[in-house]
Amino acid sequence: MATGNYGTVRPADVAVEDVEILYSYSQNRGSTGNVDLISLDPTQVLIPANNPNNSQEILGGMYTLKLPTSDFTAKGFYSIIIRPKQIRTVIEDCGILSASPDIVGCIFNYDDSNISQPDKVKFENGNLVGYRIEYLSTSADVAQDKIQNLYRIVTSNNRALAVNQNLNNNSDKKLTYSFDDSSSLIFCTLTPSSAPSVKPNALPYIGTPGQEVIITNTFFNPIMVEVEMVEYDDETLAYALYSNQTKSLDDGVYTIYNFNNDIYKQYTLFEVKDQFTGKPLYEVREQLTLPDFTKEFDDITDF
Amino acid sequence: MDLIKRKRSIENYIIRYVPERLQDDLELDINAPDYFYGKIPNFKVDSNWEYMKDSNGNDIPNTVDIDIFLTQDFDDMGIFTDAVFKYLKPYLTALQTPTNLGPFNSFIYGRFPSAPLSFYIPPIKPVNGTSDDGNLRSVESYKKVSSTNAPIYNPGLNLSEDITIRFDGVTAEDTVVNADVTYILGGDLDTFGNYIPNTGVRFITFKNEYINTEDQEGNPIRYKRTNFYSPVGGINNNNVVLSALTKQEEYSGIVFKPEVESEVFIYRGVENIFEKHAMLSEIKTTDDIDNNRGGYLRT
Repeated sequence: MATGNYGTVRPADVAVEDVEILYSYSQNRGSTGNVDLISLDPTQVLIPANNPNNSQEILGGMYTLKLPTSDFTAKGFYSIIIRPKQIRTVIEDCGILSASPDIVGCIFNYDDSNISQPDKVKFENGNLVGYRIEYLSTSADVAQDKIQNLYRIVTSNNRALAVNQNLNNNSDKKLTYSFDDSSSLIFCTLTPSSAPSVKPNALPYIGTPGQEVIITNTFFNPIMVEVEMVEYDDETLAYALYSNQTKSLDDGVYTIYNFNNDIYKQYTLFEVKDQFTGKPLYEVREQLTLPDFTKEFDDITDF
Repeated sequence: MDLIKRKRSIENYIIRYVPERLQDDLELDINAPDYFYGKIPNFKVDSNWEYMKDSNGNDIPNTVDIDIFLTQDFDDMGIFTDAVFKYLKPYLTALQTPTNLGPFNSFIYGRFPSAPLSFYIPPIKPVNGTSDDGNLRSVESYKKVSSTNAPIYNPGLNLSEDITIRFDGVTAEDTVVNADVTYILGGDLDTFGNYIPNTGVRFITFKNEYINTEDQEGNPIRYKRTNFYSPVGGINNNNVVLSALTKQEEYSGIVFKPEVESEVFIYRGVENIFEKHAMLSEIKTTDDIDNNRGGYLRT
């Protein structure tokens, strides 16, 4: 029996290199098509805030998401997933330690080509502690590659060399592992993997040799940010109500300015009359497609 | 996963001002690349419609900025209990055992109540890795080349501490001329003391290929490239048993406060019978009932 720790919540001070950002876009909430996720480079779009008393110290918790206007200014909904970065690799073997046969673990290979060069440092001794391991199916005949709702947490990782233990009992001459920093293999202990009391060298399932796994840091809780890009908000509606306006009596151009007196919207005002009687039928306000810069507010009011 | 909702007006990013230099120009070319009225430029522009530069002289990307707050949780894991797995006998026979599942994975298929341990052992998979040449010295013979002081490797010579149960030694040298040494650590022996092939861990050290790297403290280290190989993996019938891991759900999320459970009672001689009364004399307030002697008294 093992008792857990006290719980707490802390502001995350994760490095942006350990973050993964994906987003999808839909024009409206009624979109029924498949969700296409697009990756963003977190080093470009996620900026951590620094401690105001020390510009080289990350404040923790507060980050600014800088979404490029080249991709994020269409009217609609952007769903942005910010989650811990994933590393994919293969379980080289599962085994026990030579000196402590009751300690079982998964063995990964530092030289696995699936592990990118920047991620290799995470496989150095102790660096994987707290990482989560999720498993992919070992069978090709499944609809879902990922084994759902199942994960293990790394409690230690050390480089280990394969050694053969030769005991008098011939049946026990099997491969085990011994900590050795010169080796390319990484021995990871996982939780839960505690042994029952009856036989000390037993284990719950922690993976299968050759099985693909996803290793994820647990430096922060994943979040989803839904950004709704809208054409009008309270401010723009206030332009129509409270900002300066002009109406050119000569050509009927009606101009609404924003609070900086820049042209916000322009319309042409005209009447539609009966061609025979000249009787007015409609008053029309039609938006100009091209702005008429002769109607700048400062020019008009500069007497 | 937290869901944060933010609303941004596109208008905030649209250029509405016209530079002074262009305000008298009645024939603005709206298709010009530096015409920005009513547009959202990809890079920040100044009041003169010219791209702003950062300290390195690069254009500054125009961005929609949203502040977020990231947190990290640590939660009480609750309490787990291992229970020894009891097979439902009789065991499954070979005929009954599913053969269409590929390498058996109990995560996916669950546990079969009548399957013996061997059913869960994965098929033999070799293990490969790289190492330094630190083990090479343990298989050198006791002689050296007198002129060069180079080590001599004697194929077949068993250099283990107990040559009746274990083989540590070289099996081949210079399969490519003066290039490599192949040796076994932890090999098995037959009744005549001969090495049994495909047992133990096989190392190959390449004599002329050096790896230059650093140790964990940043000190330079150099060694001969060495590969190791084991024909069998680390899981077998001898080092695992089946057990069921159950989470005691009634304790999920519970964080226990420290409690004193003491069977020790201080003998105070004739005053012994007054012990509990004496303890009460130490209690002045209702809070003391909880706090006295680390929660000794239960309320």
